[in-house]
Amino acid sequence: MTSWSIRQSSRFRRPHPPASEGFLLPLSSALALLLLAGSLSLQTVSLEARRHLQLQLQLRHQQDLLSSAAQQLVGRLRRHHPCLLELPSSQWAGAPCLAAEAPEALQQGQIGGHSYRLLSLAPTPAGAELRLALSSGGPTAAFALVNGSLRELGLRAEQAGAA
Amino acid sequence: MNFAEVLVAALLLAGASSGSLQIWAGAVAASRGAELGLEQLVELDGALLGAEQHLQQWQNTPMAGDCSQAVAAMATALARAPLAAGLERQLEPQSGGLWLRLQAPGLPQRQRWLDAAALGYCSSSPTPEAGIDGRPG
Repeated sequence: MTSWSIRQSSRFRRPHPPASEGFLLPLSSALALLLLAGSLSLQTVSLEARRHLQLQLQLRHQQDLLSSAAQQLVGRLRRHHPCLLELPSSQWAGAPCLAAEAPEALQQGQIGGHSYRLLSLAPTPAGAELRLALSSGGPTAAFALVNGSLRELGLRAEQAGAA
Repeated sequence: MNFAEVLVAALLLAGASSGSLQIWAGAVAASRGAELGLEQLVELDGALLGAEQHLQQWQNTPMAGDCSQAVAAMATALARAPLAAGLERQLEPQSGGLWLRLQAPGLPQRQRWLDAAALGYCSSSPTPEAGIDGRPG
């Protein structure tokens, strides 16, 4: 009777697995995850670099438009209404060189298919300082007219409507 | 460790390595492209600045005659200005000024309007301004 019970229990007892068994799958899964995580993080960095390039391109495009607009505006004023460069833009109405034109019409224009408007023009001892914005939004740009030459003072990331 | 376990682990690693390698290759190519684009953008900045400085050095006094003569002279002077290798320059004179267009490979064209009167080369124009409102050609 005793020998039968011992034989029976040994038949149904599960043997212990060897220590080397079953480690390969978790290890390979961890390695695979590590590889994929590393490459995905690198891809994130490269996407960020591309986004930075796109932002820079957009900024340069707006800078080119605003610079062209400033050239056009100052050129137009010098050719047809030179006295306005010596007055703040808020005081253009009734200026002697304005003739019959409305000052608002001179404070806006089109360049390269884009509309722009003059936010302010203020005379300075060296010349004048003007601020322009594109009607489509984006940054505003400030320019200084110093000794006859137009210099860009920089872009400001503010809304044109707030100015 | 049995054969099935080894096989599944090998397949898993091979698939992950292959996918990872492809992502790495794409990411490295995109990063290098973006870096090259930024370098070219800086070159274009330099070329635009150089063109404006060239104009200022070329003539800093008003020229005799109307603006159309000044525009023609500006175009001649800009055509002779040095330009970095790999960049292309186009000049399109119009009434009152000219479009300076610069192109670097792989980047959108940059263009700036240079007005003869704004630059101080003339003060009168015989014809009304035209042609600068249109979209870039």
